[in-house]
Amino acid sequence: MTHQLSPQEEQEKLLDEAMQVVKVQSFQMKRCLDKAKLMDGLKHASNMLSELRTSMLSPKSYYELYMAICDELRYLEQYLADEFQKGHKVADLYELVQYAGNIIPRLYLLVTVGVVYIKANDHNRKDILKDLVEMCRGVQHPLRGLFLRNYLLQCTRNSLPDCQEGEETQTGTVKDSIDFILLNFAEMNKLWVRMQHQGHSRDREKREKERLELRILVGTNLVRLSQLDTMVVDMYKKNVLPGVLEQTVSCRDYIAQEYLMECIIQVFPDEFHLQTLNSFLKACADLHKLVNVKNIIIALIDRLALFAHRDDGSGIPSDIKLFDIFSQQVSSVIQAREDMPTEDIVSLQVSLINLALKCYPDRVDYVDKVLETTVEIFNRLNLERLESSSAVCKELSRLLKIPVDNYNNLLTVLQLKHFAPLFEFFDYESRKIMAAYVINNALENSLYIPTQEQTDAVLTLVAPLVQDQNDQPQEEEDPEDFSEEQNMMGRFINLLISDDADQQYMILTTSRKHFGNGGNKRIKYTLPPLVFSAFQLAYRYRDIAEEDDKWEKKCQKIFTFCHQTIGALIKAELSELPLRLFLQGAVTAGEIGFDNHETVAYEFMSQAFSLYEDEISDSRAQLAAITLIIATFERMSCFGEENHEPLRTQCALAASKLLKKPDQCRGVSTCSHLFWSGRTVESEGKEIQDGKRVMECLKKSLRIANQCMDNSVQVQLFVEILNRYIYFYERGNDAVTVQVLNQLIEKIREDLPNLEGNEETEQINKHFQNTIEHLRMKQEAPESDGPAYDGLVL
Amino acid sequence: MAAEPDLSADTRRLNTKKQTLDDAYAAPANFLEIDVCNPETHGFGKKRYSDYEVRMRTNLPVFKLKESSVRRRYSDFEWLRTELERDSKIVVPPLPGKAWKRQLPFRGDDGIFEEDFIEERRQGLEAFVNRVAGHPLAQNERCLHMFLQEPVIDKNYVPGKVRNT
Amino acid sequence: MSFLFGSNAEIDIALDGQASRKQAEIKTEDGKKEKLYLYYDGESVTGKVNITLKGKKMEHQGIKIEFIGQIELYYDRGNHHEFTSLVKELARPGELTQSTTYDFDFVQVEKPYESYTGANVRLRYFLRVTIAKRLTDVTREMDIIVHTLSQYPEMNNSIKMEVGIEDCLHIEFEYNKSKYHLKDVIVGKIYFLLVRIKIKHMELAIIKRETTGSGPNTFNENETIAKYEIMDGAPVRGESIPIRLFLAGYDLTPTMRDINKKFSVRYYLNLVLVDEEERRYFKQQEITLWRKPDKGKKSTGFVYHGPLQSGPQPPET
Repeated sequence: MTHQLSPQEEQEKLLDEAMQVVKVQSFQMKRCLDKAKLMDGLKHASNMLSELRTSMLSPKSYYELYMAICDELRYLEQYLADEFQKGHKVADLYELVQYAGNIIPRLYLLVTVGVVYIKANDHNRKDILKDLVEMCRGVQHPLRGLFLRNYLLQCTRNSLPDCQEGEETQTGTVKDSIDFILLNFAEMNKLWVRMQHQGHSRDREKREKERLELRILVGTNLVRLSQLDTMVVDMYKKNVLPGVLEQTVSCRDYIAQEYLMECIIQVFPDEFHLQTLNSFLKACADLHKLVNVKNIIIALIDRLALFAHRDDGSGIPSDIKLFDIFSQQVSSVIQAREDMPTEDIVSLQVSLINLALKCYPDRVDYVDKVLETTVEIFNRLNLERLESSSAVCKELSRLLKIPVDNYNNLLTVLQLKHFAPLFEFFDYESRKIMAAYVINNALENSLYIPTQEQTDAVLTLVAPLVQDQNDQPQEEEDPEDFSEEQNMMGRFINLLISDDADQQYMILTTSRKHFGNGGNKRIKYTLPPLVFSAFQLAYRYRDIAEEDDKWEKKCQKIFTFCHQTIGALIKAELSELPLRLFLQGAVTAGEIGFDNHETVAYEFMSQAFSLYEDEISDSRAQLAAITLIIATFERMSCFGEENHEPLRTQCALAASKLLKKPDQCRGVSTCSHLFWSGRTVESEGKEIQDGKRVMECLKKSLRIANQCMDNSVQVQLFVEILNRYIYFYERGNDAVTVQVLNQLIEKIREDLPNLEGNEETEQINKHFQNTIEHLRMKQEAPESDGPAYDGLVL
Repeated sequence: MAAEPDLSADTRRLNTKKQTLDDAYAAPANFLEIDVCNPETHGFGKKRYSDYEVRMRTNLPVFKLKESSVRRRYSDFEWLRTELERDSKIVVPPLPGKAWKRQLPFRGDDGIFEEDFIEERRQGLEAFVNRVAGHPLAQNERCLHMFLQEPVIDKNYVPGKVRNT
Repeated sequence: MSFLFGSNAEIDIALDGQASRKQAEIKTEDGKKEKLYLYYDGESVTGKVNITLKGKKMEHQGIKIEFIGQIELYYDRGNHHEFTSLVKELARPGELTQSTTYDFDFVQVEKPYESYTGANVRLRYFLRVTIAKRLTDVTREMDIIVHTLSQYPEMNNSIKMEVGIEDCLHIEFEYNKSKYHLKDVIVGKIYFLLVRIKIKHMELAIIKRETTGSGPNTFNENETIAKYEIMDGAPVRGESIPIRLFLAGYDLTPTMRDINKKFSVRYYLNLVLVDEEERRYFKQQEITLWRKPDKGKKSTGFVYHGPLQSGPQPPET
């Protein structure tokens, strides 16, 4: 019962046995040759070569055996060459080796001897080369034939004639070498394809894999062709490429075709490719439908793009309209291959775009042409919205990102007439992603959009980010994502800037139209930056007052625009944001000082107050809002007394109407500043410094503080008010006397110990101590122009 | 004194007709593949018998169907062999054994329905039918075509040749 | 050379010009090879016969030398068919008192056939010296080899034919000549028109057919002299497979047709295709072999001892 070996073990065993024979026979061969016993040496060589007659080895194992034997044959070749060198006649050796009864050993020996003959004396080189390549026909077994012809190629590597017509035509020219190699190539390709039909049909996949392992054997022919130094491009065009393409296309085998086309690209120089693009690309159209033609074309384009870019290179010759050729031929290929998946078609466009950008970087029209072609193809295929997950969509995204990334200039991208139309083929998700990509790119490159037209184009392009779309899915978006996205748009608005102020206004109005349709969720992100941008514009108009006599009317218009815009936010039920914007607007109007600015500022302040009163109900928010209003108003100096007074009063009133006592207290005490550092037109930029009204405020706030039930809060407020007193005292408010200070200090001292011992009390204490410290310092070292704290009790 | 080596090489060949590209790359015209597979045992008790699927793929024009699949049992192979021996001029190869021993009662195993045996027989039958079907003379016999491609063998058929010559 | 037991004379034949005469090889009946002097048709066979006395004297009934060409059929050993028989008397009956040398001279001898040693027949030429004695003659024989030469035939058409099996295999084979000299090269090709069988390999065999006897007693002995693989693997339609077979590598004789009405030696090229089931498809074609005169020695350096053969050896016959 024999032990069953696995197929792999079986192979290893067979190979080992064969290698053993090789070892033994090659040893004997060398021994005989060393003793100058040529015939015996040849007999052993023949025995060794007989191992290559086997049908039992896998291609991989056969290859190993073949390599080992070739090594040994080199010894024989060298021996014979040496003998010939020394002039030892080995008569009729060419004939002698043909006595071998089996064809495999015979032909290997014939090749070996033939090459020795050629090297010794090249006058019959042509004949011998032709004879060798023809006699190899005797081996029709695909695997054995491939290796035999490979041996032929390797042995003749340095013996192929490589000179032009006219020189030494006796011994052959480069044309003879081309014929030799092309014939060998054709025969090898034939055998290689024929392998597909060997064996059982169930082993088809295994055979395909084995064939792939052997592809380099066939490819070596092309390499050899490329190594012919005197083959010029004309010869390649007329003799070489047509021969190679003929075999490649006619064989109708997709494994061979895919490999050979790529091989041609890799092996021959780019200068040759440039002159033969049309033939090569036409052949692509005729390939087997399973061949991935797209990869072949892309490989070629990438290569040529690299070539165009080489520093040391001459670049693409100007008479070769590289882009036109590719554009045309790729179209033909696409039309010829009905089964080409759409994503592959787009991949080809991607490579075309890359070609255009690499070889002709300033031809924006080439890029547009590619996009145009894509649109045409999509229309012809009646494509509708592409699903985001589809391969086509991914390729299309890839395609559109290229000009964005390459130019890093949204304005250039806008020049591509067919860029936006391609967006229409995306579904909602992808359209949005692409839109964001475009915007992000602009932001990263800080690219300004300087015209209304371009603004309009951009905002139309990125519509999914600006407005709700028809095909928007029902589900809510992730709020974080949404916020991030809209913030991005907000930042983008800052890029909508023109050097020309009038143009800037147009940009604003156009933007307003687009963003205004964004719905309540969006406008809170997008309208405020517009408003701010408008404010900036108003400032600019003031700066160019001398060149533009209509600047004041334009400012007016801007503020009307802002008013409207902020109003839209109010309609969206926002309150704090519009309030801020109104305040900012008031300040801005005041600062710019155009005709009618006081009215505008007053209107904006009133609107702020309305919002405060009508829309802000949360007490904390109220406090914050009124504090803001007060602080804002305090800075303004554009109002006449007639307007300033009602506003001051309104502030104090609002403050005193705050719900919580502490808030009231603080609000009112804050108002005190209005009466002091507020400025009016009449005061001509100086503070009004109404000390009495200040004291009234502070006294009132003290009263309110006393009404606080929480002792801790009360004392805290006292300390705050104390600080205010000190503030005004140091500014020379007569109404604030030392006595007032003493009173309050005493009150605080009285109340402090009664507070609970906790962190809050600590804070209050600290605050008070700091205040006292401040006073002490002032007392001990009074400033020259500061008031003296005479009589202060600490 | 070393003289110039005589390096004339006899490279005579006859002129040949160039092979067309279509011929060069065409699939070989000799495709013939027959599998004997999927053994099944049918019936019960004394009426039990095994048969095999005989599946054929070919591009030889002499066969009407380029793909066929029929079920045959051992006795069908015997019938084919007998017909061929009588009518054709070929030396018909032997079939795998009849295995009389295995058909005796009181065996410890399943006799001719043993898996190993069925597989061994399958291999033999496959070798047999491939050898026969590839023979140009056997291809001319109607019995072979009926065996390979008719669903049922009509033992009352009229023996004869497929081709005229 | 035969020696007589207990004789008192030794016979020795020396041919003229032995030193410069070429020798050729021929097989002996037991398969060994021997070298003999080579003569052609029309050449005179001259030389000397040396008789060395052992004893003091020898009485004899006459001394003669014969030149004989004969055919021996192995199954009929008793009958030798002499087709050439010449005799020269060297000495009349008498007494030899000392060792003597006699000259002989067969002038312009016809040697119509080539020497041949085959499976069932042998054709040989030899000189025989006979010393007639009362009781038993003393004889000595010396074989020579005769080669028949020819010139390039005026007509030497190529052999070209299409053969096949209907619907299964069609080939066209071509051999460049129908008549080949012994150092010639068969240049040919096999063109495939239809291949519906699974061919494993193709070979060309040289078959020698030795025919002896006639009528109902004709006996053919076939020997495969050479098996030459010309194709490994399966071709498709349109392939042309080249043939270049050097005849100098094989042990061949010229074609001999009906030699003296006793035997023939003919040669055939057998083209054999073997399929994957080891079935053989063959086509036999007769070729005529002839012997060309040597132009002179080709090259020095080594002596070639035989063909390179590896793989399956030709079967022993």
